[in-house]
Amino acid sequence: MEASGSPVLDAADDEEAWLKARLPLDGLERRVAGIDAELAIDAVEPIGFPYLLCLYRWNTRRWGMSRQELMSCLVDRCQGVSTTVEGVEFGTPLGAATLPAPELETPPLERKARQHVMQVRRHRLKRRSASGLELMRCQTVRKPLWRVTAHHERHGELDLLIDALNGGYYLL
Amino acid sequence: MFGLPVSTTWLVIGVPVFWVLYTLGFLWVTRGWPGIKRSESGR
Amino acid sequence: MNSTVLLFLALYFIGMLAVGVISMRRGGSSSMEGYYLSGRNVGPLVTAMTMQSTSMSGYMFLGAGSLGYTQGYYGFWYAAGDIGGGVVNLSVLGRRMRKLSQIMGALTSIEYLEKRYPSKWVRLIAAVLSVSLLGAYVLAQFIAGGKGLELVTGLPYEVALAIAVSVILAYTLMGGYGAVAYTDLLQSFVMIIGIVWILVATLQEVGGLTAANHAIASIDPTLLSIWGKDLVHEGQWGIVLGALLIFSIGYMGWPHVVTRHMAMRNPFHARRAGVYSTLWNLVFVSAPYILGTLAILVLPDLDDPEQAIFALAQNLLPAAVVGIVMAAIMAAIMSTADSILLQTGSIAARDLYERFVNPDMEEKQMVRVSQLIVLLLGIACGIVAAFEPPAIFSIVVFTTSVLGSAFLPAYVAAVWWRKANTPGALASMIVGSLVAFFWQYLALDGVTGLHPMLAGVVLSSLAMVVASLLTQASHPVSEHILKAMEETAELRPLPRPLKAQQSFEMAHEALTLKLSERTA
Repeated sequence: MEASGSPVLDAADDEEAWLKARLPLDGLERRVAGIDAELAIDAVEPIGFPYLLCLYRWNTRRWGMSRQELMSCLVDRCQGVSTTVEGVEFGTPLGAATLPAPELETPPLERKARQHVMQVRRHRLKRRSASGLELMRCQTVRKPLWRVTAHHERHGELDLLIDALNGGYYLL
Repeated sequence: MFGLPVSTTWLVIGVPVFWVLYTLGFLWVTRGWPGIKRSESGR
Repeated sequence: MNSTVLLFLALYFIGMLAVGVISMRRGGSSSMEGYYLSGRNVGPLVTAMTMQSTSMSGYMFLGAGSLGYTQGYYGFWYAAGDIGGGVVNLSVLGRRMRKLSQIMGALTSIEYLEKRYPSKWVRLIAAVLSVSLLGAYVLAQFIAGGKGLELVTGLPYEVALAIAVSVILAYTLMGGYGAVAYTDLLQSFVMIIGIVWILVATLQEVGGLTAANHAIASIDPTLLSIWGKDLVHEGQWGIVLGALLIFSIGYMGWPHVVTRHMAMRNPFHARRAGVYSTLWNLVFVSAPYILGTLAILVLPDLDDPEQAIFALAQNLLPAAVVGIVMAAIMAAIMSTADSILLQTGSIAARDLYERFVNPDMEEKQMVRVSQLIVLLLGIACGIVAAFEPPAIFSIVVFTTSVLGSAFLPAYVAAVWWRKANTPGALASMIVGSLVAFFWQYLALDGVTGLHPMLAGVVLSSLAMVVASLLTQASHPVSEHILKAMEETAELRPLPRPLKAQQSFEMAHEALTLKLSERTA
């Protein structure tokens, strides 16, 4: 299990795992056109956003049968925002990517991830399962993002942040 | 109407009408929001 | 007691249990419950229906009915506010609050308050208020359950209450039967059919609405007035305005309601849900109040006005239908009670115990704490319900007034006012809850002609404004929060569809990047 308590500042960034970019560079143009047909890309900057990925496991008992459940949670190392994820896949790092430096310490982030998973479980099952959460793995990862400078025919210059995992976008 | 005094009729009809208008207003203000299907294909 | 009714009641419960078991075996319980926090999409109609059906509880069937029975059309002030409650909630707790909560990484409404107004006191006060008032709401459900069972089975109230409370607690402590989405939906259908049937049967019995109103007028014309029986509230706009506000904006003080909205990943659903909510409410919110009023004609000598709707059902519906409808209502009451109890346990465990006593708690310990709170609360409520049961209507109005007064300014100012700071929030929560509480307790509404909700909301808003302005220098809002708020404001005029379709979950990443380029 990867060290969950040690600060990660010294780990060489190219040793960190990257989440798989399901939207690669060559898919960007199509995606941007899909967002708005009048958008044209001027420049693209790849970004690797620092996250902590934690995988939890627990047992549930239903009608005498024991089942194992897993859930992964990503916590942002700059703001501490957590999200649960399904289908974690790793992939190749984006070349020449800007790597924002993580700002938060790992232990509170792990705690956040744990709380989030507990919350989701409670909400989902409306019941409390028999066993506690076991942290199976905790590692720092980079999430691929594309920062796209584009111009729109009618609205001028726009700066978009595009999530390489799910294609979602955000206007900067 | 319905055998009710005027003020009661105003209450019973008037406030619901207000809410219908409010809901319509809400729909108008958020008219740029796409419907569910479009937003799903957007991702 | 009619054995056909009991038979069908039993059959219904067995049927629901069967549906529950089958869908749990299929593993279907997670799809609906998981929706809000894990971002899965469930159609807006189903969403809106579940939201509305969970509000169908003891209040609706007993509380609202009793108001109609005792005060006639005056009750409509409350109903009228309630019709809009859903859409107000959806429109006001808008994208900005969702965005802000996502940027700050808050998972529940109480955590959100602490993040926006950093101070452990905010969390403590919000959690304590929530637990106590939700506890009062549970009391209302217990009373409803006891009375409902009393009417259906003919057992004395205390016995019926004991049974209802034991069943509710047992089922909550064991984790419930899963409260599967499908059973919730099915139950809503049964209740809709039930209410419509009762309404139609009652209208037939009284010869139509107009004839009924004439008949009521001949008994006591003040029942038709908007000022209440004997015109007790004549000219008291302060009271009726408060009544209108209670269920239109009061819901925004309910912690679990706010949390649900906050966690909705897809804000576009809010639109459709708003429409469904208004349509649904137009029909179903008014029904119990009207039924209560009509019951004056059909059942003029009711001992307990809270039994009005149940009694109408018993008298006018065929026995089998009575059994099924009663069962649906009882199930709704029990599931509301279960869900509120779980919420309370969860707030106590997470926002009080974990936050203040032991932050490194194991899941098992959290469960224990939560179960203990549920048990203690259940017993306390059970005792009060047995010995001195207050009117359900009063309890619900009271809790909504206090919660609304305490939290409304805090939530609204959180996104709309950059100067709203921690002292402001603390002041508004304390002032709001105290004013609403004492206004009701000391019956100041009689003296001043102002409803506790009105007094509470106005004074707590004032407290927020005054306290924030006075302490701007000593307790400024932190940069980090101001930046997050800026992030939620849309500064540039951009095409709506483009803005609207953004993934709000990326707001925190965007904020980080923007902050780093400002400092670079």
